[in-house]
Amino acid sequence: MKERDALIALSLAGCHYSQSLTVLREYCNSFSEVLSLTENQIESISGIGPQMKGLLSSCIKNREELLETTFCVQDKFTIKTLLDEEYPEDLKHIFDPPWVIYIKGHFTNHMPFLGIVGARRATSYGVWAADHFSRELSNKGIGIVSGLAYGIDAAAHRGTLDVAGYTIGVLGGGIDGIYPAAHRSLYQQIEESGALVSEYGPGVQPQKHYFPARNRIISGLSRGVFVVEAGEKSGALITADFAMEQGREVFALPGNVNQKASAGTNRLIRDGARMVLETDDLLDAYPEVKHSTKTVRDSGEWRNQLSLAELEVMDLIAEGPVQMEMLIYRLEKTVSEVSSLLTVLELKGLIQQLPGKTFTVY
Amino acid sequence: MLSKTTTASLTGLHVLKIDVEVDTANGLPTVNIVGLPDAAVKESRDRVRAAIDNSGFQFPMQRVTVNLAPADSRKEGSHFDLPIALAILLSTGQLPAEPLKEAIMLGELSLDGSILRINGALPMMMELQRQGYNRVILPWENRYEAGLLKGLQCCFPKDLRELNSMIQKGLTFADSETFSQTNPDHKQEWPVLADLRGQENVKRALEIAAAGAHNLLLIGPPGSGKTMAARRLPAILPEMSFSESMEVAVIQSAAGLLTPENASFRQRPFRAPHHTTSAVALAGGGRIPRPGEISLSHRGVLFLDELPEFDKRSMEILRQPLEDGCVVVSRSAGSFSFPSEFMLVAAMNPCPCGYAGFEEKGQICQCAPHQVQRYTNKISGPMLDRIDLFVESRRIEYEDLTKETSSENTATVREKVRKAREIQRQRYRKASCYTNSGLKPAQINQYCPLEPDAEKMMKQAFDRMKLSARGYHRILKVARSIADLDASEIILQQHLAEALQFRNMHHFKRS
Repeated sequence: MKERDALIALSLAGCHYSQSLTVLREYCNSFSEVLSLTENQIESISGIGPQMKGLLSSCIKNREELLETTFCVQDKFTIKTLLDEEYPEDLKHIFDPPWVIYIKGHFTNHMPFLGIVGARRATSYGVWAADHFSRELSNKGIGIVSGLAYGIDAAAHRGTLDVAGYTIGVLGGGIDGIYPAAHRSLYQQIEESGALVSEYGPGVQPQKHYFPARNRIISGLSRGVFVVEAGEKSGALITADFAMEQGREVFALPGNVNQKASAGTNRLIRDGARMVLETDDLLDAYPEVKHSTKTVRDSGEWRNQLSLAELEVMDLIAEGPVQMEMLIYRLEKTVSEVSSLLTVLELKGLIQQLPGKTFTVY
Repeated sequence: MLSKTTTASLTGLHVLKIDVEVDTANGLPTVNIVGLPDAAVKESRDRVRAAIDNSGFQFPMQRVTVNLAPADSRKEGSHFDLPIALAILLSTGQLPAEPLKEAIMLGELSLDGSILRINGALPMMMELQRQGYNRVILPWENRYEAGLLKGLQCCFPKDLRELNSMIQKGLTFADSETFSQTNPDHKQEWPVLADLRGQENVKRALEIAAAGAHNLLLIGPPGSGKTMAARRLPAILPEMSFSESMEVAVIQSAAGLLTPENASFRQRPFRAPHHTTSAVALAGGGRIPRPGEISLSHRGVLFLDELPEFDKRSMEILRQPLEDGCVVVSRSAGSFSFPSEFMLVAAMNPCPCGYAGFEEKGQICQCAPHQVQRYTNKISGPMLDRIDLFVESRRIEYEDLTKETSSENTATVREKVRKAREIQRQRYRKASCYTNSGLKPAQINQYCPLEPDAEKMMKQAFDRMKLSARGYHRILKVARSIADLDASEIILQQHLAEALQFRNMHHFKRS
């Protein structure tokens, strides 16, 4: 029996905890020997719990069937183990890398990654930022890693997919499960052009405590983690903690101090995370990537293409997100004039509409 | 002795001429009504007996048989009282037959002999007039309905005694055109636009919706004035044309809503059923179907506040009428079609707590993402497809309340809307629709020409906004209305650009 097959068999049987697997390997010297332990030997292992021991003995009893399943699963999914050469280099160096990762889609190692994470209950500001920065970074050739959750995660994935960038979604459940179910089409899109990664084999139902564990893979795969929006107790802060432990860069987006949804990110900045004001702040962690010379907006070239009235609107919006009502009031134009100017600017890709008829630069 | 009077029956909106035949013969004193009467008609025997006795006549102590012919159709309603009473009086020779010949009689009797208001007088008179009957005896309270018809000879006795004295003097009928169509004492004051502070885009949306009879959806947090805005729509809607008003009056009359207190002819109906309203109450129903809310808002506005709170079934029932302009209700009594060309105005919160996407001043949405999705998912895709204008209203600021508004007053807006509708009426003379919203996809290319710049913009928007074919058509129709408000024959870029602002569906993004 090959060492690698034995490891995958153990993982498929439910031995997910990388630390338990490490203990087993040290005890037996190799995973293939783990599968031929006797009951008494199992009992005498220290460092793993009774549940794990029960799992192990049933594993050994059904060894043959288990190995068969292992071959089937290997046909269906790409699997990388810590024993393999091609195991992602960055992930290898974290405190407890997953022994086995299951992959769906097209996994590549040949680009630097940034994790973009944040609260599921995101505000329009957060969604804008996740979308905006994931686009900018994708255009620079940086892959975006996130967790496929609602809110910030989904915005980051979608922003990347929109500009045909490369994105990795790290799942908190089995590799073939879609959670949340509403993200089915997002899941499929990522599978087509990016990759889905999970520490858990097919058929594993997501558990509450799997998600924090999943976060260490998000940060582990990435060179830096960018927390876009997080409340006082958001799970995104766990990812930031992992990133710090793993020696990765932590970035955070500043927010309104009165806004609870930004309390976590603001605190991160106070505690030393790098504040992100523009794309270049993120790019500092990627010296091999050329810093953005000016974007379309910064270059000012667009100014020549706008009419006087359009410029007037643009200048007001450039001051900060502004409600249509306020534009009408400040510009002293009719509602229909302002509406049509806004549409023109929107179609030119210079501004973006947020809920509540609020406009902001794109 | 045998006698006969003429009246009518109403089932749904279908009218049938009914002959009331009475035979009095010797035998045990009794009254029998035959010809499939329903409960209200059967009870008429007791009302008629008391009314006759209390008006100085004598109810025959004989065997009275009343036949409502044709005998095979069901009759309902209380308006058979008067023709039955008169037929009995004729058969006992207490009234001369000659003056009542060729007259239609409609009216309910009170025990003291007075003649009371009935439902459905208008459709019944219309149909019988078409069949050649020009004289009608009608309750005084139904006079406004008679006023709507031309060339009808009417007589409005207050009670049986007055009718008797009129007949003795030789019954005279007055020309219906001399009656007023509306109650001069009835003045409906609609709330005015000026009450809406700030909310310029909402007001503009109301104006466009009114101009083209577009369906409108208002989305906003609680207290942002969605309901307030919708209730200001009647004030800017143009008056109905005569033929439109007749369609509406017929439905209202059949539903018994055309009372003297609210005889507001030419005023477009505005119906706001509560969200607990059942599907049947919306579509119309009953053993003999009566028009539901969607028919009562024919040519007017159906306002559904808190749209997601409506029963799924009630909501989906709107789909066919919104498309076809009529609703067909089938019951054991038959299959009935009611017109239902209404403008749908709906209001909703973006999520259960009401603040999703409208975070401001520390007010943030408390809902989990899946709750928001479940909430917005209550509005089905086909339903959203039928909405022309998506409008967001936000909470107003203190400054809005105090700021002098530059927006136009109600009368100016109504005038603009009226002109735009007039342009549409002229344009669609040969087409099968009244307004821009009624354009069929095949007609859109013909009636919605875009200038070259606008065409370029449309192409850009189509790609960028990932529009569906239906969305594309909706935008063109709205742009058509905006151009009409501007009295422009061709749709300019600015019109299209403004229309695109109302196609903002980010609250309904589905992954």
